[in-house]
Amino acid sequence: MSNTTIALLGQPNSGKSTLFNGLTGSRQHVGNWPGKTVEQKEGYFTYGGKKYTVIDLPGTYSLSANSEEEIITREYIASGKADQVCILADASQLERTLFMLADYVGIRTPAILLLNMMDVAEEQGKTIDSRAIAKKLGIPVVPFTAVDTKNYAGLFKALEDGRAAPGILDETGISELYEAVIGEPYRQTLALLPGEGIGAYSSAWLAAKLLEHDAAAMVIVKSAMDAETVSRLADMTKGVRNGSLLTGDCKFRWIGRLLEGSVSEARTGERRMGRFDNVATSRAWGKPMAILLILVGLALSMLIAMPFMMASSYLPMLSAPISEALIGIGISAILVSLLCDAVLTAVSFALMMVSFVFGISLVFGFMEEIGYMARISYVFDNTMSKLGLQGKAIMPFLVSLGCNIGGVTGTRVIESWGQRVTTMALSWVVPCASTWAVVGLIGSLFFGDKALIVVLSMFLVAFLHIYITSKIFGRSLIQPSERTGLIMELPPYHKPRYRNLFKFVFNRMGDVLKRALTIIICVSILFWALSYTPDGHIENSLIYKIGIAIEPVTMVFGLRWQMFMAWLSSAMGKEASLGVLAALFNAQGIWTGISGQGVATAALSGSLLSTISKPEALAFLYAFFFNMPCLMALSSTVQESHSLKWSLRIAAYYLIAALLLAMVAYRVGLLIF
Amino acid sequence: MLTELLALLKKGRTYSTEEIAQLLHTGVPAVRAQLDYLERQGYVKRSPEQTGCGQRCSGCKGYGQDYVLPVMWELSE
Repeated sequence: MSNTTIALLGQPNSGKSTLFNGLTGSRQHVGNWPGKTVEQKEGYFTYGGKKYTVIDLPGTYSLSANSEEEIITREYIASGKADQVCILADASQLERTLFMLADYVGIRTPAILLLNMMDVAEEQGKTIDSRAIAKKLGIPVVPFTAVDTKNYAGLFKALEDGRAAPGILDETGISELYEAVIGEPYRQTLALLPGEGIGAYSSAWLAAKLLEHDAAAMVIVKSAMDAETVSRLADMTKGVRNGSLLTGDCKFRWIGRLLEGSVSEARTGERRMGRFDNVATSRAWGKPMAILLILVGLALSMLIAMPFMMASSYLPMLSAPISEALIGIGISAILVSLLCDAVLTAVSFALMMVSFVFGISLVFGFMEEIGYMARISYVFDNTMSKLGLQGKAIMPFLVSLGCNIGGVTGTRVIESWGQRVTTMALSWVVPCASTWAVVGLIGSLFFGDKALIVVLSMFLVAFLHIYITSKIFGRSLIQPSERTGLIMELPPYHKPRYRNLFKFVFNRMGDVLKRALTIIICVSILFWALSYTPDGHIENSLIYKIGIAIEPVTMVFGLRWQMFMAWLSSAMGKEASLGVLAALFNAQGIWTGISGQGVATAALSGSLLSTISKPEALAFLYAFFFNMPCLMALSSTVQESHSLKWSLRIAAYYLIAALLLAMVAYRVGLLIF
Repeated sequence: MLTELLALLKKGRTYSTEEIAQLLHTGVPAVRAQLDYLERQGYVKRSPEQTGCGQRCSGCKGYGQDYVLPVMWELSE
């Protein structure tokens, strides 16, 4: 029985092994290539009374001598041991996988092109005219699906035809491109090589490889040519920089020409989003659209949160029956007061916070799920540029919407230290989930349906803050030359996976609730303890005395001493401010309980509203919103920047800027309210 | 094609693969293939696809969403 040896050549994941197994079944054995550690798979099958030995060559991206696998592959093909080489390409991504074919052009071992994964290509709406491609190449082209082992008829026919009339790849097209793109260096190299090539390699193939500075190609040339010519070739090619860039360019152009008119693609569902995406990614309209959608998202998230927040606000009403029940079973009044005023209010606050986290996570999680968030990062590149930052600086900003600690950590993707520190400084402006939650809560409490206008005003000031901060820090940290270009692969739009979305939303809610409960309760108990006096009069407590002493100064910023302390504590963690408010504004109720007059159940909101004016509330919101995110964010900044000095500078800057903005907001508030 | 692509990257701004395809009069799959090639040749590098505080560092309760950020390519050093 006559034997034909066929070698399977292709990039990793092109389906080589599937085809090998499909052809040979159990008639195969695995060993190593002689003297190498690379696995060699060999098998055989019979078809039409003829035996075919199949060699599964190592999967490589090209035929350059960059790795052991590539050298083995190339040497085997050139050795003449294979009668035919089956070059596999993934039909669903021809532009990428045909590179192997382009690199093969010039090797004169007969070849067949196998277009694998035709089923996937068809699902993508692709129509591939394999006959047209075969005509351009001068070799058989077989469209097939390797996993469909029952439909190998086309392949078998091509193999039989190949036995009778072996097909050699036509290299005219690529040679013309080498001449046109590389020009003189190619022509001179080609002129020095033997016209008939060396062994299985054509002179065009060898010239291209020499220009790529392929050491193994030089060895081939040395073995067949005189020393003087080799020396001239070495001198010639040495002067060509980026040879692989030039030859690669030619190969991609060649692939483009090969596919032109031979492959068509039907419009798919994803592409129907094209009109929307044109606007979403437009240089002119993309940014306004993103801002509009973010604002709509914020408004929506507040609307979603409102009913939950209202429900949570009724929780303190349980204080009276619970306290009566606890006192009834003999629990001490001081403990009942703590539980029913400070702790219950803290729980109510935590639940209200979580309702905002639900709204905001749902809206922004939805944008992420459908693939829109990536567009935001793309359209804001121009803005990043104006801030002197790289395009990818937007990534930490987006992450900061969830948590500033994550945002600071996310700056690791930026190589330049100056850019990284500036990005950290700017990412602090971005309000995290907890900030939004507290702002939504306090804003709604004081401004009702006008809270959205307050939030929008802060949103606009945040942009101004980012701009000014970038100028202040960027001046000494960023060099203009540090900005590098970026190419983004925007993900396709897709239907949201609601299960993932709600899993994310509830996970985040759980995290926030856990942290909020812990911090708010701890801080409220701490401040309750600080305001403790044996006689039950808060006026005699140390914290009150300090508060009253500093109030003339804090009122310059529109902050009463309680609000100032809440603001100061928000630098440790945003939720802490609610703990302070819960303790200080419920003090009367607590002290009433301590003095044995029964537990007062004044709701904190009522207490706040009767004590704090709207301009003061506005000042607090601004001070809070623009304060440093939390101690953990500061610690991360120290860790990531490796600079305590710069981290403290950033922290001091934020504390001062927050107070200044509060002062302005207070004055504006006095004019409005 | 490849040299033009690198020249665009050197300009310092951000492009989408669609925009690059338009500028180079080719298709998005071709741009992806060329970026893969340039990456293998060491001319460009790929940025992390994901970021965020999914690392669950001690002390951090992990508020951050693991945003699936776009795949990004930039010039290698």
